[in-house]
This record gives sequence, structure tokens and C-alpha cells, in this order.
Amino acid sequence: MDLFDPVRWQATFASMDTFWEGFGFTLQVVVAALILALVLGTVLGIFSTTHIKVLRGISRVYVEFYQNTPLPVQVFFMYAAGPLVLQSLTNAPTPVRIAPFVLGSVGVGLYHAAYVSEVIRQGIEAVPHGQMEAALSQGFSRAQAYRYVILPQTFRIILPPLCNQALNLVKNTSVLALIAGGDLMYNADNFVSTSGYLQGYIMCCFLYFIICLPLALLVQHLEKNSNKTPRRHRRKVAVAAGREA
Amino acid sequence: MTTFRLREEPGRLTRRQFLRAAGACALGIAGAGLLAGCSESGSQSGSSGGSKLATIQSRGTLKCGVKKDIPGYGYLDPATGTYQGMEIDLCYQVAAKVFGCSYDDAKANDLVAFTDVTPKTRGPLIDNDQLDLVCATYTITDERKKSWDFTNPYRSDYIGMLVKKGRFSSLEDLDGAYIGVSQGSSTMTNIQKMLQDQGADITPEYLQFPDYSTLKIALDSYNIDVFSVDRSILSGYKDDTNELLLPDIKFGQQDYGIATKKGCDFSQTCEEVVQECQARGWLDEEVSNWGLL
Repeated sequence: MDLFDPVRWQATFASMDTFWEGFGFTLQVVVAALILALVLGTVLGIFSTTHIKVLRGISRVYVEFYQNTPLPVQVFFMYAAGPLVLQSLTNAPTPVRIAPFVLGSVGVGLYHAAYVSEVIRQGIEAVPHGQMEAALSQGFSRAQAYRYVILPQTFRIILPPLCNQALNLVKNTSVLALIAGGDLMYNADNFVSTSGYLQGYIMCCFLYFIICLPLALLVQHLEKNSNKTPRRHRRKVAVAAGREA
Repeated sequence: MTTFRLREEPGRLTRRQFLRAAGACALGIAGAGLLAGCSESGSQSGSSGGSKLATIQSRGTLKCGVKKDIPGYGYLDPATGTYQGMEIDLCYQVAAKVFGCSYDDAKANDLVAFTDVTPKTRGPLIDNDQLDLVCATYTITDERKKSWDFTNPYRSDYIGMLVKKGRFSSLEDLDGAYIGVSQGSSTMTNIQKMLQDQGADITPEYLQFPDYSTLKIALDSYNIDVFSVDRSILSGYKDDTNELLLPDIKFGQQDYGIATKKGCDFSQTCEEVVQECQARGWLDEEVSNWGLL
């Protein structure tokens, strides 16, 4: 069986340098894309729960556009059209190339911002209106009500779906392989197509797993922690806040 | 379990016995088939070595495997539904020889049945006799010669470097440029060797792409500066906006030959055709007629 051929595994381990290089690049893209997705997603999610129609409209259009078109198409379009569009925008003498890092983090970040926004919206909507009214009637200011009553509940609701988004984001960065982006998948693909050893893909899976597993564990931990928020402490804070008001 | 089996009637098979018997049967059948297959193919390559040519002659058409997407070599024109190119013409030359008629007659009478092949299918289709010959930018290598007969090369191809018009004029211009190559090909090592041979002290970046159309898109969107694969393939992507960089520098030579079944007499016929065409300058005419790069 070729899959267990020690010679092939040896060759795979011998070229671990390229795998780690791709691994590092993927990791950078993941961090940048995750930050973009979380920030933009939160803003859009709040937009979609406000009473201002324009903001709700913007959020809706954005989410529908990104949720209903495939990621590879978006990234490929940015890749193919981007340099020429940037040239005409900046009046540069030659087409302006977009670095794969930018393309990856922006492309994947924008895509997942749409999903994050939906998660945030659902999280906010899941906390009943009565909670806010009750908090206000107890003398909380609006900000305090958000800080101590609404957001802790929202956080617990959105954590699991947010985790799914983060994991999907990691895996979706492999779209960069399509455009020779230098990420983990690209390097693994090059290895396999040059050597013909499928071991490269196994190694690739393993490295993605290394990124994803800690992320999943972290979120699990956070989830447990947020459930464990000490009741007594929370009550103390709430009482103090009530007294102030 | 054991007690259960002990209580079985002596004439009846237990499940395990049945499976064992079935397995043995299957093995036996497969083995017999394998043997039969061997002896059959053995007798064919032995005695019918002389009858391959006769088989084609009695059939009345020559079955050729060609490319359908390489303009100038083998290209299926979607407008007319006919195959065109140098390799197509060469197939007609072989047909003319086999059926003892003129080249024009072979063309007029449709004596060749074309099938389009891919790198994956061209070998197997000769092996199982679905095709008499394959003439499809098939590079002659020592490895392949072990499995099939090849004629002398009817055409040598080189690696080409397609660039946007007017952007580059010398190798030195390529310092720091992005060169797009096909994943898993030897183009990259060939370019590096060529740069060394030419004494060009430059270090371009190499990017590997999964397919040719992506490479073309990357070139058109200026994400890469050079699109580099075999010239035969490049001819399909040549248009008004791009040009071949320094076409006189020839490197990464690949020799294309007609492939036929190993050890059949038909191989000799193909070889004769190629040599005749070479001798009377027909091949060179074709190259210029089809504007090959």
C-alpha cells in the first residue's frame, strides 16, 4: 500500500519546510481575516437590530450578497479584476497587484463577516425585550443594562455558532491555493503534484487540524466559563449598580 | 457457536464454509480469466503482429487518437465539427500509406476516424486496441518506450514564455518578475537551467497554477508577468495582447512521436511515413502552414 510506504513518508517529512512555511502564512491570514470578520460582523449585526432603516438595509444587502455567492468566485474575481480596477482608481502606470495575504484575509474576512453578522443579530434578538425593560426599571443605565444583563446572555448564545464560523474561516483560507497564494493548501498541492505522493495531503490535513483543534478547545473553555459566571458576584455588582442609580 | 456447528447436518454448508467456497470460486475464476487474458494478448502480439496492418486495411478506416484543444496541432473546430492541425494531416498521411491511396484521397474519403485523447487516456486506448495510433503531442521518453512503440520525432517542441506585448525585451528584465507555471510540470527547472545557460543572473519568482486557463487569467490580470508552458499549449492562448518572449532561445526540448502498440508491424508503417514526410520537407511546410510557435 503506497499510503504506508516509508520512503514516501520520508520524502514528505524531508520537505516539511514548505509545509511549515504555508502553515505560518495560513495562520497569519487566519488571524487577520478573523479580526476583520469579527469587527465588521459585529458592526453589521448591530446595524441589523437598530431601528434605523438605512442601516438595516445596508446590513441586509451585504449579508444576502455574501451568503448567496460562492467564496471561490468572490476571491477569484478580486484576483482577476482587482489589479486593473486598482490601476484605474489610483491612476498608477501599471496594474496594481494585490498581495495574496491581503487578498486572502480581505476575501475570507468579508465573506465570514456576513455570517458573523447573522450570528450576532440572532444573539441579540434571542434575549427577550423584557430583559432590557426589567433592567431599566431596576435603575440600570442603558449601557449598564447592556454590560450586565443583555451581553452576558448574548455572549453565551452566540459562542457556539461563532466558533463554527472561526473554524470554517480557517478551512476556507485554502481558497488561496486556487490563485497560487502560498498558503498551506497551495504548498501541499505543489508537493503532491510534483512528487505524486498523497502523503502531502495527509500532512496538510494534520496541519489544518493543528490550527483548528486549539480554537475549538478554547471556545469550549470559554463556553464553560461563561456558564460558570459566579451568581453571587454578579448579584453584588448589580446591587452596587442599582444603588448608584 | 461451536456446539451449533456440531449440530449441523453433515450435508449442509455452514456460513463460514459457504463463504470459503465462494471465495475460492471467485479466485479461481479470476485466475482463469487472468491466464486467458495473458495467453490471448501473448498470442496477439506474437502471431497477430503481422495482422495489425491487415486488420486496419480490412476495416477500411484508421482509428487515430488526437488532441482537440491545441490549435495548430490537433484542434476540433467547433464551427465545422472537423479536426484540424498538423497532427491531423499526419494521420491522413499514415492513412494514405496504409490504404495505398493519395493524401488528398485519404482526406476526401474520410479514411481516418478521430477520437480525442487526454494525457491520461492515450496510453490505455492504444493498449485495448480502441485506437491504432496516437498522434497527440505525445512526448517520447525512455519510460514510455517500454510500453509503446514511438516513431522518430515529427516535431520538436520547446518551452515558451508568453508575456504581455511590449513589457519585456530581454531576460534581464525578468529579474523579480512572477513566472506562472503549471503545477507538477518540469517547466520551472527547465527555466532555471536555461537562465544559467544564458548567463542571466536574475531571480524570478515562480508560482504554480492548477490549470492553463487560470494561468491565462493571471497573465491577463497582470498577477503574473510570464505564462510559461510548452509552446504547443501556448499557441492556444496566443492573442493580440501577448507575445512570445525571445522565441529564439530554445530550451526544454520535447520530441513528439506517433505512438503505436508495442511490437506490431503497423509501427514500422508509421515510422516510414514520418521519415518520408521529413525527407521531402512536408513536415516543415506543415509547421509554417499552421504557424506553429
